[in-house]
Amino acid sequence: MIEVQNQMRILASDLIRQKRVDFIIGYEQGTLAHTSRPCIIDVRTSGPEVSEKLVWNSYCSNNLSVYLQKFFAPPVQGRKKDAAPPLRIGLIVKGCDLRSVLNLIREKQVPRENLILIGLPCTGMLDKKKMEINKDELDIEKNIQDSCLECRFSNVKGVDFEITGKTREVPGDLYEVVRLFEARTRKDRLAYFEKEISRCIRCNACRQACPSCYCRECFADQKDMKWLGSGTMSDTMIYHLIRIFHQAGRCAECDACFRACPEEIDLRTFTRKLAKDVEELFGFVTDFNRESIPPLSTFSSGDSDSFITEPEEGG
Amino acid sequence: MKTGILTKPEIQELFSSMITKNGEESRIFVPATIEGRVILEEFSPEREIFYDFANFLRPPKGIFFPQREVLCSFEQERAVEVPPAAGRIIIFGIRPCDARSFLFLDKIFSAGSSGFADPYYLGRRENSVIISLSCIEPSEGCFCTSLGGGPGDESGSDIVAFDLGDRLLFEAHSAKGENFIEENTTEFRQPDAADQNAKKESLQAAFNAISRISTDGLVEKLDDDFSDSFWEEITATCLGCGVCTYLCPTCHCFDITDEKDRDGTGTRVRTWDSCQYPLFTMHASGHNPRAEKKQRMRQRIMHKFSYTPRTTGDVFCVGCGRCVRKCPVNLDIREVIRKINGE
Ligand code: SF4
Ligand code: SF4
Ligand code: SF4
Ligand code: SF4
Repeated sequence: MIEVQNQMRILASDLIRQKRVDFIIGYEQGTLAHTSRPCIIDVRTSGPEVSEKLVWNSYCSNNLSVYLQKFFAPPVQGRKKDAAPPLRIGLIVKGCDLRSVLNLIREKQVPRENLILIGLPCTGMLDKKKMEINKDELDIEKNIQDSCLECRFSNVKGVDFEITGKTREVPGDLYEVVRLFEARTRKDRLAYFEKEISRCIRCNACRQACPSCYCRECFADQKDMKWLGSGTMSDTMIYHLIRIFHQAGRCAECDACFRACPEEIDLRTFTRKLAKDVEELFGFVTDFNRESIPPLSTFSSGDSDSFITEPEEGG
Repeated sequence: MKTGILTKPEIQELFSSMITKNGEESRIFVPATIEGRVILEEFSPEREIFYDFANFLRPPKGIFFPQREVLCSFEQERAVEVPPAAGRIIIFGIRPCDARSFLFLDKIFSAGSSGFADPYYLGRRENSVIISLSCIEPSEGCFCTSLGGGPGDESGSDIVAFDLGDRLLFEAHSAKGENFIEENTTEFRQPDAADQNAKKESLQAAFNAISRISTDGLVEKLDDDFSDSFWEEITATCLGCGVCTYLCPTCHCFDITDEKDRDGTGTRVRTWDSCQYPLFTMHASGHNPRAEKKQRMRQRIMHKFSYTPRTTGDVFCVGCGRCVRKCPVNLDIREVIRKINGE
């Protein structure tokens, strides 16, 4: 990993020296143990030596693509007359970040030509919550994030610069957790969903951390045509159902929502279930293919409608 | 000062006997674990009090200032007041930092600083007894000692309980606290020198583990015209999620909305709100004076470290470290303060 980190720093300082980027988005050392955190460096005002700030280790779990969209979105209060040309962003990506970036490109939120993507080999990120419970930092596999255990995209494709190295092996069963969930009765599944979201404090951290939740005005925030009330259980349920459904075929399964949630609510079982449904029903995976059209953006008369069911009695 | 010792099983018994006593009902909140999470939970005799934790994820403010509260209901033109629930509230086992936060919230919700006394908050608060539990193992991110608190600090507590392993040493720090020990005096044993020594040792160890920042002259430093770029730089990675404010024991902003059904009946509801959300300051015209996150974070820092020291005399941060530990991007308020200090 140190080797990858060194190569990444050299690459970043070259890009700065050659004035090929305006910003570099990567990771830096955090203030708590076992923590790396996002950093956004304005390299127009700094020399190539700032690349020394960048780190790469097993704590680089944040999905950095969440910061991209705002660089290219028109400003909130009207576009300025003499707007500067769009910026060029150098972005450090793991497999999951890259898939989020491609999603933003497919959805025309971010221009590919303004990005310089630096792909790193990922062996999986560590889960701080698991580490606290296991108190056993040495056993890496035991402390890997659930999302990484089910990842088949740790080997990036289609980036501008790729630093090669060890990546994860593609697991045999990609949807083990979902299958276990699906095996439960309808009543049980609903009870689990309710139990989890009953802890929700409606802070919206799950939405804010998600690179696909970039809507200028989220349905949850709309006031004129208010979709959501002040936080009864049914409001919370609607919030989650809609947020999760809006991720169909867009979620990169990076688990940013799950990590951001202060209440440690199991959001991943539900987004994962959706990913499995989209894959099985529409044959779509949020992979490295930039040209594919996500199911929510298209329609075909042959689309599956098997998900339209009669309500079950009792369940 | 009245003091007393109880073993942990005795505490369990004492609270069991207090739920209904002399015809008075008490709601007692204690630390408990549910599926591995430590929460402040309403006590019942079957619920085992849990001691092995650093602090709760959620601050205790919700007991007096619930996240969602119905203030009144209405039917067409007629409003029906919904009075706050009566009855005594005993909170046991919150950490000294969180107990201290109640002093600040009291200032906000009583007539003192705002000129308006909030009957909902005060109705519950006035009838409460706070028994805080000293810290043995502070968390990474705690910095209470820099803000006038500490692992055995008594401010805001009616009683401070010191965890001495198998037993607890109770020390009363208010008339309410004295009464509490007095009322139950037959249950308590008097502490001896060994108990006092154990208390000192546990406090010292905790004290040494707590991180520090300097707040000297911070109010004046914040008066200096910090450039926009300062706030922009420190908030570059902020997601605007508001976790730092929802989990903060001293953050107290709220919104009031009317929720109406088709038949014209409805309720007026108060809910927590946060300065980190764009909607917080959105005008009906669509203009937003704090449209950008640097403006919103400036509000958060200024409110805690500049405005409230002026209006109430207190820095509205108790150093509990929740925002430090739970920020998804590790935007550390200690670091922000150090930067303002020029460190
Ligand atoms: S939940 Fe839906 S509406 Fe809200 S930001 Fe996410 S995608 Fe947009
Ligand atoms: S981050 Fe967690 S607590 Fe916050 S709104 Fe999402 S699910 Fe609820
Ligand atoms: S600002 Fe942070 S450390 Fe201070 S009281 Fe609030 S949550 Fe605790
Ligand atoms: S918790 Fe962190 S990311 Fe969220 S609003 Fe606060 S500072 Fe920003």
